[in-house]
Amino acid sequence: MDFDGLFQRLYPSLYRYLHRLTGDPDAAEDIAQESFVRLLKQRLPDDEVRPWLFTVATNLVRDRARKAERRQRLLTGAAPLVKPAALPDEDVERSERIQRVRIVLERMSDRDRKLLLMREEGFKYDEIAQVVGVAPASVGTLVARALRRFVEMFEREEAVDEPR
Amino acid sequence: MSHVEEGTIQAWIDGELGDSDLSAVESHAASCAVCQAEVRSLHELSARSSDLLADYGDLPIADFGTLGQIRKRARRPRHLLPVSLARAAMLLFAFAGLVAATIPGSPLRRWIEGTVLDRSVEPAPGVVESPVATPQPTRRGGVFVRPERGEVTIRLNVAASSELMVRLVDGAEAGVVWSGPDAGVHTRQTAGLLEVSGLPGGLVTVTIPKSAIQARVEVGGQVWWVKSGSDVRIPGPARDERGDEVVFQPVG
Repeated sequence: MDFDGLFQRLYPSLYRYLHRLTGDPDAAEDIAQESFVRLLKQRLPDDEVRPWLFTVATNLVRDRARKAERRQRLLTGAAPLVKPAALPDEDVERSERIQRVRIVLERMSDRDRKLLLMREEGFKYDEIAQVVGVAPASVGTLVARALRRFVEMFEREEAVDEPR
Repeated sequence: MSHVEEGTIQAWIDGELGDSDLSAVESHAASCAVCQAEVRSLHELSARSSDLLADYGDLPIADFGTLGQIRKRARRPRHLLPVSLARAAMLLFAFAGLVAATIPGSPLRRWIEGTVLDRSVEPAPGVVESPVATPQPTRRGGVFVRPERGEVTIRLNVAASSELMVRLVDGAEAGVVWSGPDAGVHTRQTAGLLEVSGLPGGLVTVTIPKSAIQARVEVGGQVWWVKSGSDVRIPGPARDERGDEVVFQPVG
């Protein structure tokens, strides 16, 4: 197992997945690193590494969430978004969109959030099923519903924020 | 005519269908307006979702610094002692504690009588009770106490217009430091407990050692901050939270 090569290939995607899953960049970095630490002790075929890594990372997120009743930083586990004071309108809009996405992801069920984010990272259905803990034949339906909920919730959130 | 199920269409969009299912779906969808509409709808949802997620979540560079941190972390010893030896040491320690607790006058027995059994006992040597009129901050304009068995409680009654900050520190003591005059400040310290009242207005900083296993900060009889192991809860009215500090709203 070429650990350095796996790290180069998988770390960015794993970190991004964890960042989106937790909303907390520090937790994402910590869990991503811990997952790779555990990978060092494994002897896995290359094609099994990615789902194994994401499974371990997802379980670490779950374990961390169970331990902490409340985080020392922001209650929802994500760093507070600082509204820029004097950025171009485009950047302000982007920043607000990111904030809305974060809020919507937090409101989704844990399962829907994982389905959506793993699909976005390019995982196959059987890998998603393994990590999320559902039957592989049900992933298509669950993904379709998660996508629908995500977009609908975002649009509702956007409608609430729009000036009247 | 039965239409293609939503999950199958999604699997088709995501390239997950086997060859036989693929050709069946494609040939049906070619002549079914309802299924075509569903395909378009799910395509749009997929595209919209990817578009929304595109900006959210950093894609870091997999640098050698991070790789180095991972390797260093992997080298940290998980067990300093073999587990069986550690358990034996714990059992021995617990037995010694039990024996010490039965000896009249022993420090451990006095602690048990004074805190767990809540009997009135004379303070153990080293306990400081400050006189009403002249409190004795020990250093740095504050008062400090060491956690007892990893537990520490700070009880405060503060003046109006005070602002409270709680910080986790690397030191071995818990403390209360204030910025105003000492006159009128009352303090009481016992093992693992520090009570301060009559604090002047201004910033009051409470420091809690990170090594404390159980720690709490009470203000006016209410719990505002609790540490249990590595978890921290803040039942009090936190105004801002940064790293190892939390700043409460002005009190009073």
